[in-house]
Amino acid sequence: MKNNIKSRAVKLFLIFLGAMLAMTFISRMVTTEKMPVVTTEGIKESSIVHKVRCSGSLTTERQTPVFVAEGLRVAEVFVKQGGRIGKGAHLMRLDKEYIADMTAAAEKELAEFMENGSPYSGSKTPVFTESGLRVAQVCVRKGDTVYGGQVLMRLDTDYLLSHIRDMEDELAADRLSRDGMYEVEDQRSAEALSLRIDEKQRELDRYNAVYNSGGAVCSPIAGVVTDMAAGAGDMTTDQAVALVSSSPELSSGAEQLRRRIDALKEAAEHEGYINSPVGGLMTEVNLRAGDVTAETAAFIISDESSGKIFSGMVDPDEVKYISVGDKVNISFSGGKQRLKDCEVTLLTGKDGDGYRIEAAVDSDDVKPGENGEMTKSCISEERYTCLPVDTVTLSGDNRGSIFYLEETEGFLGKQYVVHTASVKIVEENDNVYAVTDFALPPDTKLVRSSSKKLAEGMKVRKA
Amino acid sequence: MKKRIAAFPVYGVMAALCAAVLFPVLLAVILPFQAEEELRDTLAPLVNFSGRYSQMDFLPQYPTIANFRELLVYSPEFYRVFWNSLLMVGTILVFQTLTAVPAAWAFARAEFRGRKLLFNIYVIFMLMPFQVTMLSQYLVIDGLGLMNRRLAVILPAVFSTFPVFLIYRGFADIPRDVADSARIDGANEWQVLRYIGLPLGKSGILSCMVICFLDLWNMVEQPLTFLRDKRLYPLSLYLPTLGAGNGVILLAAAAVTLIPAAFVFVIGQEELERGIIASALKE
Amino acid sequence: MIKGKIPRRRLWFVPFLLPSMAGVLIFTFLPFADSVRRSFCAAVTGEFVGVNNYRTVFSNEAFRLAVKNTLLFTSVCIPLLIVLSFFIAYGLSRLRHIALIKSALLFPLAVPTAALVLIWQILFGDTGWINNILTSHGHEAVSFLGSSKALWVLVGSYIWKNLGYTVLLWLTGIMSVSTAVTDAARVDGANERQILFRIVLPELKPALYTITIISFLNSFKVFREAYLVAGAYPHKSIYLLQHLFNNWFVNMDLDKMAAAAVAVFSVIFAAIVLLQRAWDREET
Repeated sequence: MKNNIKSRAVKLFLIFLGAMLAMTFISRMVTTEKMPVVTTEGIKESSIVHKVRCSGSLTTERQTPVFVAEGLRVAEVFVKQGGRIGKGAHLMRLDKEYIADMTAAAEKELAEFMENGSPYSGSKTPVFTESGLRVAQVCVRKGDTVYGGQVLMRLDTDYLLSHIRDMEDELAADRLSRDGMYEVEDQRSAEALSLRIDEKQRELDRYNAVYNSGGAVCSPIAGVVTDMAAGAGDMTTDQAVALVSSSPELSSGAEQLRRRIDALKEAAEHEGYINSPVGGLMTEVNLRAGDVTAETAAFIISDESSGKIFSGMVDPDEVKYISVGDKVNISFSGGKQRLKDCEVTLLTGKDGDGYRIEAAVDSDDVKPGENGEMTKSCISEERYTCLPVDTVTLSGDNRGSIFYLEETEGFLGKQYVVHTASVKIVEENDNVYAVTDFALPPDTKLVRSSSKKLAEGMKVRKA
Repeated sequence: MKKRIAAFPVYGVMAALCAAVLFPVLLAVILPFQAEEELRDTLAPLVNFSGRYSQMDFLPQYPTIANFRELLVYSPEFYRVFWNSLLMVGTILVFQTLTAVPAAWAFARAEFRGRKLLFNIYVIFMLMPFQVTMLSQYLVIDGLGLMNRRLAVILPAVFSTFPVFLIYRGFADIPRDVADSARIDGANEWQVLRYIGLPLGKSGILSCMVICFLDLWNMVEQPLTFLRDKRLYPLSLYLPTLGAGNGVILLAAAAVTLIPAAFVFVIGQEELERGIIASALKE
Repeated sequence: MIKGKIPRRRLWFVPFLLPSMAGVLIFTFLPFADSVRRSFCAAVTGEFVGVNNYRTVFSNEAFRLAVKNTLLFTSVCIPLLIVLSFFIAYGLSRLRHIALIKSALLFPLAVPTAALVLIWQILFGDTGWINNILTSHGHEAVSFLGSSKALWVLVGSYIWKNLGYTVLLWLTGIMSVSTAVTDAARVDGANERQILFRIVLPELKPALYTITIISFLNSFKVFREAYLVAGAYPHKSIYLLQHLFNNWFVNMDLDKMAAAAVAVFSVIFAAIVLLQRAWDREET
């Protein structure tokens, strides 16, 4: 019986060994089937090209505002914002009758102002000149601001000359008379005559002075002319020919009024049309037909004759890659126009939520108002760890996940286990992602593709 | 006739004793058949103590072969270590026998000066624990460039003195006259060994093989010291390497490890007993 | 023997012995001799330092602990094993159908240690099953492996493994006491106890000797269990000589190892020789 058991046991044992042998192969086949096959790639350390993009539009360097006299009514506006305008073209038409009314009202206002202004004005300085002279020309008007020494009026020099001659003749005759009186020993009459001669002489001197100065009558101070007593052709009297007030309010208020009157007169001259001083692009149109003009600029025109610049906004993150003087590429109209190597001329601090950047544009092919995109490529200074794009799975929020291989010594020899890790993407281009947060050695192999879905800790085969 | 003392209670005591002795083995065989949830109660407290002690269900509620399947189908490395063990043990046994049999025969049959001394040296080395000679063996093996190769484990074991001793006992029992008569008849020593020694000493050789198999199937220190690559490990090292973390597979693997040993035990128990007795009779 | 020329026939044993001897020489004997040499030299430089290494070893705390533990262990487990197995063998000798029992007791010998490591941990671990039983009955959990109880666990495992063949050996010895003598004694009126003490036991002295030696040698094997279950640095109560050697080896303290190896070898050698002398004296 024992031998029976023994031989049975031997047989069983052999069967067992056979089964183990078979299972060896079966189990290997099964696990190989289940094991994912992966391809791998290594990682590189290099600098990556960083592209800064910003969009903006083409404008001009100078923006010209157009002011119109306040308080006028707009009859018609010929331009729209963003439209182009040639130099001298009509911008808008003002109501002409309205202008005339306004002009008259303004002048009246000025006169009143001068009058009413007097009690508040402080000192008014009178301007005198020799009487009995004829005014040739009046140089200033009431309300004008003059500087000290400015010529207020000119006297007729011819008249003056003849007057001087007359006086000289008179004086000579008087002197003769006096001499005669001295010879007859009429002391009293001689002295009285001497006094008159001296007086006349002094008068003559004064006339001569006037004549020598070209017949100009000057304002002694700076201020506003509040009164002109004499007009052209009038004879001067003993009274002041003009009054000049040195009050500052008076002067500035008067100046404004004066200017306004001038603008009104000019508008009236142009039949109410306001024309564009420069050619360019309408950047702002602030008036419409029926509005009343205001103090602020009615229009702002981008002056085409000044230089063209591209103006855009750069994100705060990107601004560190650009500086003034860099060369950038700008493309307009969806790529139809590409300009290379435009130089950055301006980069200013925070303006809203970005930095304003301007670059000079030299081309004639683009017109102001067109939208464009500016790009600049620069090599990053730092060297980043660069992972090939097909090894990284994006997981939102600038992070990605990767699988990497770990080589271990197992019971079957060398085997590979995958692990997962998360990285932060700082930059990308077509081939690689530049990442930080990458704590693995530089010879790590990353999984590029896998025949089955991978999980942390799975054993895999290398393709 | 020996007086039989009250047989029943003694049987009872013996039965209890046997049950107690076999209890761990039974556990080792039953536990792998338990489902994962049940095992979790048993194993988890070992790794991660959270206030609950290890529970054990002696009869699994949901017996399953899932653990074995996990081990036998989905872990090809198990087979690697299994065949490693088998290969190493088999090779050692074969060559051990090949070198030990003639040597034992020589010790048993020859008479030369220093025989006793040499034999005693053999015996002494047989009795030393591995750790004493571990260092010197390491130096030799390293010097021979055998580190991390299976030969590093195989060679020292092949030349172990233990089988020589065991087989010697088997041969020593052969009466001298039988062999001498064969010699007189003109046979040379090889032939005497082959035609007389082997048949008569068979039990000794077999018992040696059984004992050595059980010992080698179990060996841990030598591979641990001399082998580095995991892919060379024998089955006896695979189990400790897995650790309690992989408790489920470990239980299944332990059960499977038992199987060959159990087979050999069953097949060779008689020889085993004989060998034990023989080794003891004359020290 | 004819002087001068040794007949070839006389040297027949040489090729028989040669392979085995060559192997033993290379792998065991010579290396050990080298170890002896090393034990007198420094590890790194190789110069002769006399008994320095021995001094270091003997004054080493760990060594002393290991020696103490090993001696303690052997002095506990061997007598325990011997006595226990004797009683079992005696009981078995009275019974008829003992094959199955023998197999059962013998089986642990065949069980690979590594296979049972987890089972031991499950049973005896700090969070193990036995603790579970203890705590659920209101007792405190006992740290079997982490306290001085570890020694008893080890003793238990040793006895578990070696009970089978020790019983077998006793049994053989008991069975070999010729029945004629015992029968005669029984007829003469001696009771069982007297038979046991007067006749059987003296006959068993050789068996006792053998069992002691083998048990002593197998007590070293228990290191494997301790190492697998409790690691390289277990609780200090089970830190054995082999642990020490293992750790020194790992740290490459070659000179200390060599000295200790030689020392241990000498002790065992002396023990064996003494025992052998004692046994020889008994024999004759």
